[in-house]
Amino acid sequence: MVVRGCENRSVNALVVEKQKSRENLFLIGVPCEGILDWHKIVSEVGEAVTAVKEDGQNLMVETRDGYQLLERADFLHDSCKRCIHPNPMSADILIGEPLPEGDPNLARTTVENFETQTIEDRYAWFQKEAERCIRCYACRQACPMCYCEECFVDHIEPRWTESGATPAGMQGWHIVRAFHQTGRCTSCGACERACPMDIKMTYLTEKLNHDMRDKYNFEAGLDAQSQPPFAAVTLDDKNRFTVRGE
Amino acid sequence: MNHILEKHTLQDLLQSWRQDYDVYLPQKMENFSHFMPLTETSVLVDGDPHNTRIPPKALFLPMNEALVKFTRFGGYEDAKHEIQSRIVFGIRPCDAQAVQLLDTSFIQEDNIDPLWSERREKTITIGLGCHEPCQTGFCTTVGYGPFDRADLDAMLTDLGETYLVETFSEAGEGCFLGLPVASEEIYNQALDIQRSAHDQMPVAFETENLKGKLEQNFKSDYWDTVSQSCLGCGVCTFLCPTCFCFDIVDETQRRERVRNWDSCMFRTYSLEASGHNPRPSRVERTRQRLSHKYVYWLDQVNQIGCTGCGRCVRYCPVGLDIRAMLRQAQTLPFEVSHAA
Ligand code: SF4
Ligand code: SF4
Ligand code: SF4
Ligand code: SF4
Ligand code: SF4
Repeated sequence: MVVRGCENRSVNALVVEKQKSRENLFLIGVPCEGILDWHKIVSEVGEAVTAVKEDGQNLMVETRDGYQLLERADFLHDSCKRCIHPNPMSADILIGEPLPEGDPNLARTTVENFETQTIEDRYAWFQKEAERCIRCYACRQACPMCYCEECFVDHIEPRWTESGATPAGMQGWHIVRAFHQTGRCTSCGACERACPMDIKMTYLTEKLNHDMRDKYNFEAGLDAQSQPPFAAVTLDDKNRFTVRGE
Repeated sequence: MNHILEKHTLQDLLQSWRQDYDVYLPQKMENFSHFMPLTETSVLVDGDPHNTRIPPKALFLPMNEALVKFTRFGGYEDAKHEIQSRIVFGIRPCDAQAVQLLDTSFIQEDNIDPLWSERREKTITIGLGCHEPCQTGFCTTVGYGPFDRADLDAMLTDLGETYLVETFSEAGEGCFLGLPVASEEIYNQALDIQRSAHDQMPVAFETENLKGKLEQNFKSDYWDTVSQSCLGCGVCTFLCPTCFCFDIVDETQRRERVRNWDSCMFRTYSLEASGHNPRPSRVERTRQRLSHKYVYWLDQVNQIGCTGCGRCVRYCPVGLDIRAMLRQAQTLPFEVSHAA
């Protein structure tokens, strides 16, 4: 498998969750300069893009009316812009020169923008993003950590959330999907990239990722052994809720 | 009749319709356009992008709607829907064509979907032709075109400062009463624009024998190849203007029986209660999607069930391109003797 930084972390996290066996994989790592967001390019130059060529840090965008030169760095996906670990950390071989690590403070900005608002504004933000969802589940299908044979939304009895694209259904989907990623999301941004409705949803999972970092000193996928805090069980756990009858 | 509409008077005209109708037109929502009700300040998105992200089928078959309400003690009644008279303005020909195709499914002689048909009856559709055809669309390849009338009540051709308005029905004519009649010269100028738009569009793939090739190669490895990177999401079908599958679900907390859009690309689509699934993987699901559009629609109404809007090409998260898939299908073996 050829992996970038986020994909290497996803493979690790899947190995921890026993979905992949590391011995059966040979990882070829590639330091990643980020994925281009074609929606951003279209917003800039219009719908009629006929070709895009990459030339170092420049993008040559061909349209019906000619060419436009853009700077690559301005058109990256948001998750790539704030990526902390662009280098694969446990690949079997690495191709290319490792890149400098990203700035964790940059990664905080999305979450801070959200966290620092009033509760009403946060709810309005959440509604605005969640309630244009069409329940196509592209985010789930693209997510490396969503692998359940049966997703909670597909469960009929009991039903965990309204089935359709109703406000309650959309909100339920967005909240629970994010919470199922607690300590598991590898910040790859695949969900956001896949969404056909341009829904920005990583502010939720990034918030959970920050909490995991701050409160448990944990980041998903950094190695192939560490259990996510909410999945780990030890017999001397200070919280006794796992032990029956006490 | 053909009229001339000055672009700067469009807003007044749209507002005047509001007295008698709910008016819907493509307006900007985030970075895309969406059919939304007209307000005092609405602005029409008329050039870029061509098509709304969600196709106008949603105006006739909403993503979610209640069919039955359960009352107490085991009773039930039809869910009530107040369906207003509407004008849908600015619908592109490929999307109008799609709505007309869907009529063949929802309005059949002895089988009429009451909600679809009431919405259709109460809606006047006014099209906006594509003088600069879109980039991913391929309407001409599948036998339609950037100025197809479909079942529209009227259609506009962009002439720069003005629109030529062609009306095709009494209801359509009623919307443009009092506008000056277009001269022969202007009409011919518009026809030239229409023809040149049509001719500008490249042939995306050949359609000759395509149906036969897909049918005869039902068991071919071709389907493995074209479905390899598919995620099995709902993007290509939900955004497709001609996909009309729905699922009926009881929302017990709301005491409603609802219908939701459904997609043959979902694992749960053909999953049987026993656990058996006749389309167990994305290979069979991809085959179903393509075959429905390029084989079964032809069997049923002798028309291709894809109007070439290009949405599935544009929004597939992994870049699966139906045009490329069908070009590849054209290389499959085909025996003429099998063709009916
Ligand atoms: S990809 Fe976007 S529209 Fe589709 S289910 Fe996820 S959030 Fe909703
Ligand atoms: S596919 Fe044809 S009709 Fe549809 S938007 Fe493009 S040019 Fe217009
Ligand atoms: S949009 Fe693409 S990935 Fe999703 S089901 Fe369709 S072909 Fe597969
Ligand atoms: S199959 Fe694709 S191109 Fe054809 S009508 Fe549907 S979305 Fe448009
Ligand atoms: S079976 Fe699939 S391709 Fe056919 S209408 Fe339903 S969702 Fe669309």
